[in-house]
Amino acid sequence: MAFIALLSVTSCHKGDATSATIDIMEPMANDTIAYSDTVHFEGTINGNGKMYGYKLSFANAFSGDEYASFSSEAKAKSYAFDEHWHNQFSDTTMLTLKVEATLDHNGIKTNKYINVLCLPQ
Amino acid sequence: MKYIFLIGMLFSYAQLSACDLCGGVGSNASIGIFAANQFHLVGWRSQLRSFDSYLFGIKHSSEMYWQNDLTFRTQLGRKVQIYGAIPFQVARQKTDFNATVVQGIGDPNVLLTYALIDRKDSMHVTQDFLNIGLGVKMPVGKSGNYPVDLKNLYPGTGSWDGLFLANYTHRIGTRFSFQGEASHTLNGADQSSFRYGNSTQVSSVFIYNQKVNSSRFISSLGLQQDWFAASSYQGVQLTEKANNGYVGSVKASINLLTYNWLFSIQAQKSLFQELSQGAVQQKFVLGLSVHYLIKKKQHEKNKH
Repeated sequence: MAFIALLSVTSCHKGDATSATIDIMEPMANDTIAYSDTVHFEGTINGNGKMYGYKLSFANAFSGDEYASFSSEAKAKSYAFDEHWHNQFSDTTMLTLKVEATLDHNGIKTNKYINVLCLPQ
Repeated sequence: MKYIFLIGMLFSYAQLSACDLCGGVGSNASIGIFAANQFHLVGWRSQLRSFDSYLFGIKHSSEMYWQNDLTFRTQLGRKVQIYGAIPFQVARQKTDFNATVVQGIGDPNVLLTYALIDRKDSMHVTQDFLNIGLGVKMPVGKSGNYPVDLKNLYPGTGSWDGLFLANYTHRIGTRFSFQGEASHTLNGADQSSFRYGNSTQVSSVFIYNQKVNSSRFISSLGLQQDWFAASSYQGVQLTEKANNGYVGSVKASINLLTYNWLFSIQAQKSLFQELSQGAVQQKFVLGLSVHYLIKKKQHEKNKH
């Protein structure tokens, strides 16, 4: 009985996504961002079913330190995002822009990222 | 009967939009069905406008605008009228991540109209009425700076805008009338040289009125078309998110006139639209207003 209950909890919800296509329209990978310029992080996430949210993050490519992140738990088959990051680094920094989509109710995720080079003043 | 016709002219009245295409679109301008009336008027008007915004064809945000106007109208002589409004707006944009609210006083506006044609029958009931108007919107409201702020959410545009309009009303029988209206707005630039494109609006409505005891119900049904030219920044026309496009809508209103009070409900729903290359879609417009009609004093009547 416990096994059946466990199965019912962990089994796939009908209509949940099993994969998603993440397109990052801006910026281009390895773009150089001048000091005081704004990084426009734009793109889309298209699932083959219902997804359970997504997260955008701006992090240091080497240390993994996260400078900013945005999370949503909105359920949808597709998302469009347009967020911004203002370059005010005092040292040359490789920045990782990451998109992470939650595919199903179990929390299975898929992601895509690019790096851009942020220049100091 | 004259009274019936004149009151039948009462439901939309002067309106200059503080934000031409705010995440969405506001009506251009209208003096509407009060054109032939010679009452003074003060009132409150509230309007809710709803939009969805799209990025790469996917819904990205929802915008809601709640605009409240303190309005007045006064009659100067037999042919000249002055309309005015002071708006206050609350705008809210909701994305997947957060909600942004911008509120404040909008740009007040003043409109001067002149009755070019005022043909009455032997019972002094107006049969044909043509009004032309000239207005100005003053940049004293709260406005945002492009491209730093979400400029379309702000209640003011930061620019001087001019308005030209013509409004024609024709009576059909005892209970019906037809009204056609056209207006054009010339928009100026704000301090950072951002300029919303000019806009044009044409509309036509059929009006029906019916007396019930001591009150009168007035209803209207019609069509409206709006065109918006592209915005520009520092003299260069924008190509993306340029606020340009068109909206064709059906609109209706129900009005109750009882004693000196007029209560109105208006609704507008788009039939077809193409705004900012499909990046913005108008969902609906709902309006509510209350006006108090001030009868002219005897010595004012005697002047005419």
